Amino acid sequence: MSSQRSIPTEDRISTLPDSVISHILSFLPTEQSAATSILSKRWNPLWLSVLTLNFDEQNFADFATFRHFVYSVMLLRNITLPIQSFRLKCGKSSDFNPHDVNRFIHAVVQRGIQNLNLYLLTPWIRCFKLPQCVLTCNSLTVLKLKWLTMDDFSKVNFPLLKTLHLANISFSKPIYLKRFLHGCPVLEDLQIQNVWLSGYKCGELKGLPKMVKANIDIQGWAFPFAWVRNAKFLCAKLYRPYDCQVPVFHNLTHMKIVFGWTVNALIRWKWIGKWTWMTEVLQNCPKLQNLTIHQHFNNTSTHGKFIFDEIVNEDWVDPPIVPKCLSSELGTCSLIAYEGLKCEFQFAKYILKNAKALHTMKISASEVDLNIKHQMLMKLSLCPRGSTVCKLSFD
Amino acid sequence: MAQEASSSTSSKTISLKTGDGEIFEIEASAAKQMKTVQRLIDDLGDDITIPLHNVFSKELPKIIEYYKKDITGEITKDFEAEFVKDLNDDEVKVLFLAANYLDANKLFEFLSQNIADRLESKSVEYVRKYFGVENDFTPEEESKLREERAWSFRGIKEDE
Repeated sequence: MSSQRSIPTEDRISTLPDSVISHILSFLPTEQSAATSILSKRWNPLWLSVLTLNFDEQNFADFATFRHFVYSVMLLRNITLPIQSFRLKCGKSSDFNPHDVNRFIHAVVQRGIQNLNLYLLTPWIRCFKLPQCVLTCNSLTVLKLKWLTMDDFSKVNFPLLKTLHLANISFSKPIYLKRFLHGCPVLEDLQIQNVWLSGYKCGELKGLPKMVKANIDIQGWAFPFAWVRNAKFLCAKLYRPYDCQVPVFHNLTHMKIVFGWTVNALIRWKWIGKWTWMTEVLQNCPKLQNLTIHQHFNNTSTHGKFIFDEIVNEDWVDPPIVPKCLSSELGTCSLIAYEGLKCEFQFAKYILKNAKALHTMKISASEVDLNIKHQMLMKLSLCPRGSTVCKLSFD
Repeated sequence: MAQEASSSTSSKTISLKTGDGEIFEIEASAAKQMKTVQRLIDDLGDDITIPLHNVFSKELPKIIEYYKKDITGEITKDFEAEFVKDLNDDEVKVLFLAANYLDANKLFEFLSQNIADRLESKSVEYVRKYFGVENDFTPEEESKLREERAWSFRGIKEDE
């Protein structure tokens, strides 16, 4: 074994192998890692051996300069060197040209790409269309798309895709989203935010078999949760009454439901039976260990809150049978943005009484006046608890 | 090389001795995440104190803290942000070198990202100092390179 004398940090860091240096460089935006080429003769070629490319237009004066940089890098790099990860963020400049972006994407999908992240910032009227070559890029394991439209397509082939994040994407018909997801047989992590479809109707759907984590935030239509029925972790933000059938979530252990609202929701949708729906969901999650409910009032004015209370919140009704997860599984329950509304209090009371395995009930009421908070805490502390180890935490 | 067959490896702890002679305990399941430690355990057995010549008492507790959270599956973005919040660039460098030596992959990845974040938009001189790099370019060679790669120096602060 080596001697006991310690080696100074400076020496240790300068003797780091090229692979470790390249690894650190792979986390930098490409133009920053390119700058390291002047550090020393040893560092000069290292940035070109990095398998990750990360291009962000905001660090450049305009699209023309940005485009010049991207082309230069692609040409300087050894053509046989794969591109494992490619991130492209652009579209804001007035001289944006989609043909260049198409060329970049074409070049990249041919180089064994595993992780593709496209974030387009073009305004809606010039929304970028995803080139078809991406849809049959079968080496992809991670795909993240933001602000694009999907052209009509016949086939999607992602045999290795584990992570899919779609944000602000429009599909011309619901069938295309369905076709997209069915082309991802081993998908584990799904995030869908603001995906636009017109004319969606709930129908029979197979659940994605390997689902682990799903995060769904959609305003205009009801996402078919049957697709993600095999997930262990689910976070769903709902803006309107959910009128499709709630599937059974056989594996779900952690769930977060956010009841969002928009001005539209306020005026157009009365969700009578919201808490009844919540009960149905609980009935369908036999293994649920951790539940979070967040009633999210974005920038609510007093006026808005008043209307909201009146229209949307009806009383909680105790279900006839205690949901299975409450009898044996639920360990943690969190209520965020608690306002002490009657239905919220009744729900909390029901959980405290019936959740036999509950160890933490966490209430978060940060916007509320201290005196009112104290009253809420007192009221809840007096509720009978079905679990002897249950701790009530208030913040 | 007697190896006890422990019925519950999860509760077994391993003793680690730092380069400056201090001893720390770590769960066997956390030790598994550090390939160098695991190799030493495989060679020397899990009953003796494992010597770590290149890791010191200043940084080992932090590493143990990280892996304690990892084995309970509690590592979140918030935890990681908190973990590095009060560390300066040099402290992160020391942790990074330790993670590299210990072959502790998860921590190594996280710290690589953190170092990259800290170096973003720092000057060339700063990066040189940070990595202990000797500039072996002549002034002429360097200015030629800067000219050739003018496009890549946008947004990088100049020292002095």
